[in-house]
Amino acid sequence: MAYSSSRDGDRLKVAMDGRLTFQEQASVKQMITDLQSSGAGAWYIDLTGIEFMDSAGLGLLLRLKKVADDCSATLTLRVPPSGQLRRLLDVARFSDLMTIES
Amino acid sequence: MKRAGVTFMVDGVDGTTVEAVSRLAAAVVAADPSEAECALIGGPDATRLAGVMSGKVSAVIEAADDSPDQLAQRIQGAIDPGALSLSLVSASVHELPVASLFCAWIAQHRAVPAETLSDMETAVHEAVCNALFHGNLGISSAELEKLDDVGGYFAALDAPLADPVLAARRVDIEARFMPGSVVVSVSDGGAGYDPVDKRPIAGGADERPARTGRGLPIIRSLASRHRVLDGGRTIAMTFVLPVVEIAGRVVREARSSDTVELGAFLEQARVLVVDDDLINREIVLDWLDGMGISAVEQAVDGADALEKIVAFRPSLILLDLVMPVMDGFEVMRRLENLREAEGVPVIVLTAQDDRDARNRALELGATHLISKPMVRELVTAKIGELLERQRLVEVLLEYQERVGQELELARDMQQDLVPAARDILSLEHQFGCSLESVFRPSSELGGDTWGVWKAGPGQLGLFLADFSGHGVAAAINVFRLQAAMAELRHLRHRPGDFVAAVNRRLCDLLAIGQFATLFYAVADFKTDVLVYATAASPGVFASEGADGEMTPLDGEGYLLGIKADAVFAERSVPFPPGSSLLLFSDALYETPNDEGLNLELEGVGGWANTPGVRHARRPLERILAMFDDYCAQPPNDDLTVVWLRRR
Repeated sequence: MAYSSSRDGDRLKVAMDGRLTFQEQASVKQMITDLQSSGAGAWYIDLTGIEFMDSAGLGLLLRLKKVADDCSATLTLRVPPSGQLRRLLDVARFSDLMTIES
Repeated sequence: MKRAGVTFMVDGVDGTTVEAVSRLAAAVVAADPSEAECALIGGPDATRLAGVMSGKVSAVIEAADDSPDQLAQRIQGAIDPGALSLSLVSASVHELPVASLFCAWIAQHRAVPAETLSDMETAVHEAVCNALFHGNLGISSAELEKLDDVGGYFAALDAPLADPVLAARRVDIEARFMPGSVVVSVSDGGAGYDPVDKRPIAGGADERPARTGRGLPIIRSLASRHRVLDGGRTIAMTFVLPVVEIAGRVVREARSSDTVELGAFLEQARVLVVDDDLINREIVLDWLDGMGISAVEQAVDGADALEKIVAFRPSLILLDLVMPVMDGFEVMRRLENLREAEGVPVIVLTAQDDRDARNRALELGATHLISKPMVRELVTAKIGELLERQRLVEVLLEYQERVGQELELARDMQQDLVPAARDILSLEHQFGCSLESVFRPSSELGGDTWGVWKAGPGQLGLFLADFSGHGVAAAINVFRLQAAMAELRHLRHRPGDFVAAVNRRLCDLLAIGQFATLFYAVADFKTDVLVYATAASPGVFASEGADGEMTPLDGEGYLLGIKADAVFAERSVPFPPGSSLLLFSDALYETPNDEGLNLELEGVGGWANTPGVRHARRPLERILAMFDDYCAQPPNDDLTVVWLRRR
């Protein structure tokens, strides 16, 4: 997984690419640290570049949500309207847990 | 699936490598000498997997520190036509996108719709993770959950992976192809793990309960069916695949219900229990649970019941009569107009001695009455019976729908057999003629077909055939005829010999009582003659020149498929520029009008000779308009009409 971030006022946008699985967590760790230290009030995570995500990826998103709550930041996920990642989020009913837009 | 070879990955087998490999090769040859084809992948280079898992290889086994005997045994186990198998050690599983590779491999062997492939990849990945984390490395879901903490998985996996014994444990993945589905099984090679006890079980694989975590619910949602086997060591997932493919076309997406076993209808049932008495509800709930019915909803009165019916969409309702707010009678009255309740059986619970109430309930549409106090055996037996009946009706409806779809496909294929517009256009240019045609297969399958081709220099061949009967048999015969004609293409310029040869072929193929009419003509644009042979085909008219009258051609001749040595006379008529040839199947003149009268051949001749038709730019269009006006109902037979006109 690779990511890039851009700041727009209080909004921090992070775009992730590649696979988001148990195998890819070193970069995720770095990403979360970046977000935590950014001080931004709105976290906007663009997942449209993710090719494949697994249950560990779901766990990471939950973790991200918790970190965002701790930082009093809002978390918005941008996901593709269809495909593997979308399907997984739907199956796990993540739209009940966090803000998802496509 | 035919197996085409076994590939061994030999990954750092020190010292014993040579012996291991030779033993493996011997095992393969012994198991299947005709098919054995061994490729060796040497070196500790697991990333070459993707290249190895090609369409022609059906087993990939990573050799680790197994003994030659163990490896030979593995190979032997993998020699299994109809399956793909992959065996990797934990260290490789941790490195590679194993599920993606494996599912791509499956897709090389069977057509897998994109959505199914995506679901399969996700589910297999979760199963592989379970096998790796819990099975082989002995890490619990709870531990991992705790470690959801930033980047925690890494640390959790690092330590056990560093243990050579754990890292060498295998994950075995197998895909077994079944009609209409593929079953992917993922097994671990660990000592076992008990999620309840939170500790690895030493050697007690048989007693292991199913693994839990976030992965299993995902698998449950994505696979059509899943089972946990070998006391938790293996998870087997079924994915439904399209079953019927003809010429690359998928007839239908197989439904998930195809793999549902008899009895599984109970698991799928949704039952609404309506009773104001909590104890009664709890009793029934317990019984339902005992039957394996887990989708249960409760309602405390009639009004509540109506809301729950809309929200929960039950497949069966248990309804008490005496309730506050709205009683059971009122509920039933309202069910009549409730779309969500359509076809849902209602079991009414009544007091045994209240005859009046029982009669009223039945009048209002109760499917069955059960007296209070309830007896467990009676209630569960009745529920089971009603649900099973419902399931059978569903199966029948599905079957009906499937047959309908398959017939539709057969009609499409029949349509594909007649000349395409593009080919007709090209012949029109080549020969300086116009060729109008209509081919309308009936709602049932019929036995019509026609064709046109270049029979020789300046010669245009044209035929129309009509098989006896309807349905699948007639349609199959159409395919046979087309196949026979394609094989006999070298006779196309000699109508008499061509029809005789086609007849000989069909006599061998057709069952007694099946036959066809056939008209075949070769129009020679240089000599201005139409030479034809006919097998009892009455529907042919021709005119000589633009002003000639359309007159019936002599249609006498044996039916096709009756007499193998029949001779078919060649006849000829002048066919100068401007001449027309009209071919049609019997639906044109045997379809009744309002008064039950058929058009008859004379009627067709009358239409064809109407100046407005004969001199029209598109005469066939006119005739069809007249025909559609004439018929009371669309014909229940194929309608084929072809009009050829020389310029």
